[in-house]
Amino acid sequence: MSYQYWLTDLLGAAGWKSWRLRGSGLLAFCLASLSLQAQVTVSASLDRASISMGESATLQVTVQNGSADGSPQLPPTKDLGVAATRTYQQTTIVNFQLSSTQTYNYQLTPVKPGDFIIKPITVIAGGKSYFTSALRLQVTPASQAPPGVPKEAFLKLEVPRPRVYVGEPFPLDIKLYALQGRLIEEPQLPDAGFIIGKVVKHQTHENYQNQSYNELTYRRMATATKPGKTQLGPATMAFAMVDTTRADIFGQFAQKTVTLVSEPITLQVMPLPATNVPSSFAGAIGNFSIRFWAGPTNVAVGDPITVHVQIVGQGSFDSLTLPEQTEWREFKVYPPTSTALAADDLGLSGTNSFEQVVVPQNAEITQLAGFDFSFFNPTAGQYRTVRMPSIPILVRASAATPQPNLSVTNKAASSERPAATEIVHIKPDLGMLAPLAPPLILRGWFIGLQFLAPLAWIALVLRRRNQEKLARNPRLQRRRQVARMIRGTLPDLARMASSGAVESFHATAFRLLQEKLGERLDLPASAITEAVIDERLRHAGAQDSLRARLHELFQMFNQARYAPNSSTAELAGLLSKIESVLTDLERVKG
Amino acid sequence: MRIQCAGFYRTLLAVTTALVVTGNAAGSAETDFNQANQLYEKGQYGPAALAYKKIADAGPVSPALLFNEGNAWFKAGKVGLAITAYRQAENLDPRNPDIKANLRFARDQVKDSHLSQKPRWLRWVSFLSLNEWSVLFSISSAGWFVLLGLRKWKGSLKNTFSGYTASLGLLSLGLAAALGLAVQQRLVGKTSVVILPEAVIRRGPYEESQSYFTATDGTEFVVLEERGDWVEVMDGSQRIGWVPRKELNIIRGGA
Repeated sequence: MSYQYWLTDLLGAAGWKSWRLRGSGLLAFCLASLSLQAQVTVSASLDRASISMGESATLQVTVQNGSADGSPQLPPTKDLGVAATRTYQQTTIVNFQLSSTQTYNYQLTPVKPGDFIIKPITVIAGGKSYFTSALRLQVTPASQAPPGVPKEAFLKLEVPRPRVYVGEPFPLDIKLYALQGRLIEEPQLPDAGFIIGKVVKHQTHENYQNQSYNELTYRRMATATKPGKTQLGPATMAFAMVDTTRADIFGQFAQKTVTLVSEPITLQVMPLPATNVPSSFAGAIGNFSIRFWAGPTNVAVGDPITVHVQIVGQGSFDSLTLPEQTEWREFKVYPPTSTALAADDLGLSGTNSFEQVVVPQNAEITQLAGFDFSFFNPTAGQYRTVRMPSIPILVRASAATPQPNLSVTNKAASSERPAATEIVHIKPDLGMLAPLAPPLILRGWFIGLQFLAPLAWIALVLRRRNQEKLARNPRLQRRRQVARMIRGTLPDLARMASSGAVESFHATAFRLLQEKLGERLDLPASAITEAVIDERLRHAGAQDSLRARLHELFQMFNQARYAPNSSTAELAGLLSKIESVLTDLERVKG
Repeated sequence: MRIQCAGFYRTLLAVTTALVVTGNAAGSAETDFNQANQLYEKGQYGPAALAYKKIADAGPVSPALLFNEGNAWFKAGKVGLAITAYRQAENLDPRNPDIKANLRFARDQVKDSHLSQKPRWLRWVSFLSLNEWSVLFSISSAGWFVLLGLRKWKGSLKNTFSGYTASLGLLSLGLAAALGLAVQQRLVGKTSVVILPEAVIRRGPYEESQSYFTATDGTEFVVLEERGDWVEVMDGSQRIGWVPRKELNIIRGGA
């Protein structure tokens, strides 16, 4: 608090105002009567001498009876992050003795555990240099609570014992101890070398180092997958806590996020003993008891008998299978069904009940042979074998051998094909070789092929439309017919001219002109005469020269009708005239 | 005309040469295949697997070749490589019960390996190969357009073919949808198989990244991203992490 504000507090706002108004002389007098008799002193302190990784310590540099010229100069410390937070100033008057205190706060965050020495800090006040004493900060690994110092939150990883067997399920606890704070995420645990099961949470209170902590336990089932000394963890967890070193303008403390890290655990994972392995051992690890019964025991050949096997205990229920019954050769054996009933949340203990239908195939059968069930007991470190006694049965001869009505309850039983025990053997023939080419759908030629049929369809659609258009427009249809006729007849005319077929030439040429003029003037071809040329062509905009040439041609055709004696050369010249006229007629508006 | 004849003879020569070369290659592959089979029968599974792989790498393959390669890898204890070969064989011959059985058997040997199964209504798409779906769709759609074209060519056929046209149109639409699903399953996206005894899945694409979980040989993942030598993968439990590319076999399409 500054000097002026301290006085405001002392006198009250109104009092300070009126006091100020009455005259600053009195204040000057009072201040002058006060004296800073004490010397400038500089000190540094830590809020805690020891912290854990993931936590921060607060360094406080205090300047008394003086004003620092700028911020204190902190010497760099390796692996220790420094961040300035708040600066306070306070002035007090006691018995007319004025004293002031400047406080600089810094947040220290270690990068790794160890002992850190913070060298003397230099403070310049009034042009003089002052030095604090050196400080020591001990940083312990995460969650290792230093003796006597209560921690706000830490993580612990716990297993029931440090030695486990490969495949043995065991509970694994990740425990969060917290005085206050808020969860941000679930704990993370690297699981290299282990299979970690589902999590079960429960919360309680526990006294730890004379502190009452909220304890949140994440319990999971773990199974080691390979032998040897294996490290489990460390577990990590993001956690939000109240930061008492930082407050907002309303005095509310800020929150800080810390990563809690547990100590890892080293587990000695032992392989299952390779000696004295029972022949009936199929991988069951734990401690089990077994019951075996069947019914009905008085049946006819072909009647179903239901065999019940119930395995109760603790251990790897996932790996429990019904032992193979090699002595049940005289029975038709159906795949077993199983029902697991866990006795705890993790599935570490419970009951696994198998049901299997067997059908006696002859009347000589007198018993359902017993069998051995073996498991490895990790507590005793030994294999155990339980011998199931044979069950006597009475099988009567029967003419009919009805098939059992199976009541299947699980996937294994519902599958038509029994579970395979070996892969299908290799093929002796290579078969048809084909290059490992991209699929057809990615090949250009195949994609192109897909467009052929649609394109052909589009062409046919256009053709149909064209036909319909022609059907609606007879003039256009006639125009095309005439054009087609001209294209086909002109070569005939050339042949007639070269062969000297004068009469045919003139008759054909005349008909051609009639057809063309008829199409242009929208008249029947037979109605075209020389008189029509003048009447209609003029209105149609034909040039005089064209009409003159048409007159000339019509007159020539009339002459030829009576005196057909033109030479071949004359016919060739006439043909070129006809072609020229036909071309010019094309420009006449129809 | 002479030029055209020369071109024709050149084409004929090239086709004949190609057929002879292919025939020789097939003969050589048959011999190598039999030798690999003999190695397998002698119990030399590793060399047999390499011999099958050599044939497959050299050129044309057959479902039987990839099936046998899968068997040899499986017997040699390389479940991941076996699953890869079986899946390639399944792509070529999707209805082969032996391939399906061995692929299922190999997958059953891998703990926690299974990717989430496709919905039942999607599984029928796997009944045909992608090429089979493509050809079916192609024939159906071409037939449909031919019928549509005939109706345009000759209007009197419009009523005659209306039922066939509608049926073939619906069939083509169905096959187009099936082909789309097949493309989505086989070509879109990638999956991967762990081929080392143990692969550490990390939280980031660096050796220094924190390890997340461990996958055993044969574990299958969906590939989310490939970045340099690292691949981001997701397992059947939706766990996502990074693994070095060399520890996986990446296969196009879903599992």
